[in-house]
Amino acid sequence: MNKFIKWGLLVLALGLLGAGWWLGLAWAPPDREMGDVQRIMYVHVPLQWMAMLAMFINFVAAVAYLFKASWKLDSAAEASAEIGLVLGTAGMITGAIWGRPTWGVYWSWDPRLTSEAIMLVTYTGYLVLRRFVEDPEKRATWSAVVAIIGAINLPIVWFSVRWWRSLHQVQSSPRTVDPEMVLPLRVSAFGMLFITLFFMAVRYRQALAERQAEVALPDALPGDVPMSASHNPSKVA
Amino acid sequence: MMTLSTLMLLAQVGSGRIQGGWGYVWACYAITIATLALYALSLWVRRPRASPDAKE
Amino acid sequence: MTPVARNRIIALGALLVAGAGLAFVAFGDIGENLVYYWSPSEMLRQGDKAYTATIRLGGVVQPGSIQWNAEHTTLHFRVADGVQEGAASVLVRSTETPPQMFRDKIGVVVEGTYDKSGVFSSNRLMVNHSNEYRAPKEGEDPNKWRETLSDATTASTGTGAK
Repeated sequence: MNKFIKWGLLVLALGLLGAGWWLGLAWAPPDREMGDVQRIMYVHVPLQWMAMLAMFINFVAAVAYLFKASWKLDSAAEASAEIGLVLGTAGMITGAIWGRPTWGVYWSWDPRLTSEAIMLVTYTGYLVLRRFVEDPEKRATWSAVVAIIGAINLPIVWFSVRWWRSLHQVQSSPRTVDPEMVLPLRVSAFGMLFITLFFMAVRYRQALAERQAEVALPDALPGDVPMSASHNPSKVA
Repeated sequence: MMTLSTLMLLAQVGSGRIQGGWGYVWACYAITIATLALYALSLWVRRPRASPDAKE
Repeated sequence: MTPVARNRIIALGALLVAGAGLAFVAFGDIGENLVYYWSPSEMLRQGDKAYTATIRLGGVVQPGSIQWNAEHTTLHFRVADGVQEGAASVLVRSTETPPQMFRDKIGVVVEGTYDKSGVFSSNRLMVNHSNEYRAPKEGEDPNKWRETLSDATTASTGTGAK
């Protein structure tokens, strides 16, 4: 990616996040019932949205990898899973903090919170699996399978508040949120989107460089076969 | 003997409104900023050195 | 089989498993078996089965039912199926200070035990919020209602201190 686009993304992200959070903290009105605590929305909701987006990109990259193997797709899958996990974890922590003054508890095993926790564990497992498989091609294939099956968490988390009774409320929409609160939320969400894309661009480059370094190794390791013929990967022990 | 803050808490029962709570708000923003900053730092630490754009 | 064909079969297999898993969760009766809370009418319908086990009861606070004894920090209120008159309801006793959002008609989930005397002893009181976020009403601008609230607080603190 062009250097200017990359650093431009970061500047745009920080600018929008700063503006959105300023609007949310200083300009937007407090909520009628939640008061100032409602301002946590402008950080919690963008984090969760972008975590879902990153995990969805992980799913798409995994499916695409299996249909047309390429190190680029595998690197994109790795980058998006890691960033999704970071954002999702921050989203869950801010959600718990929001829960304390509002619900009265940090945590309860309601369907939304439980499914979110399972989702984070799944993506942790995905990244651990990637660490433990040394053969890049096996790693890419196996982790793609885990990514595809793990992606069922996404619709489950999203719809959990509609399918089952929960402590967490159902999704808000611009009709249930005052325009003065929608604006800071939108601006912060775009800021979070651009910072996610920036992280992904950087992490993707790293992953791709690692993959290329790994596949360049076969010269040094006579037992390993290049990707084209590796459907029979007989490891010489 | 009840403290003043307890009494204030008790007086609010049934009001249905949260007062204050800025501490929770700041905690959320601080944690998020710290997480993003630490992740950015981890990306910097893990930057590929051998590749041509390591000069950046 | 070429690696490409093998990978595509793996992809289709994984998508199939994922789709089946999702369908099972979405359309299966998981919701029937893993209920986060019972409504008052559902709990009352359980009869003896509802006694002694730790359960969650959810509903809305029946308007006008809140009785708060500040001296002993005991709270009594009724959790009802809905806000309409005559909705099934259960008397709840709690000994903790409720969250600030607690009020008439708000959604609550209580964790505790129900006994033969017809009282639900709660040891965890949670309040749930709707998906609506609104600025304070017209003529109730943020700073004003803050003042009103703090006046009220000061007033009752004064009474309490007497």
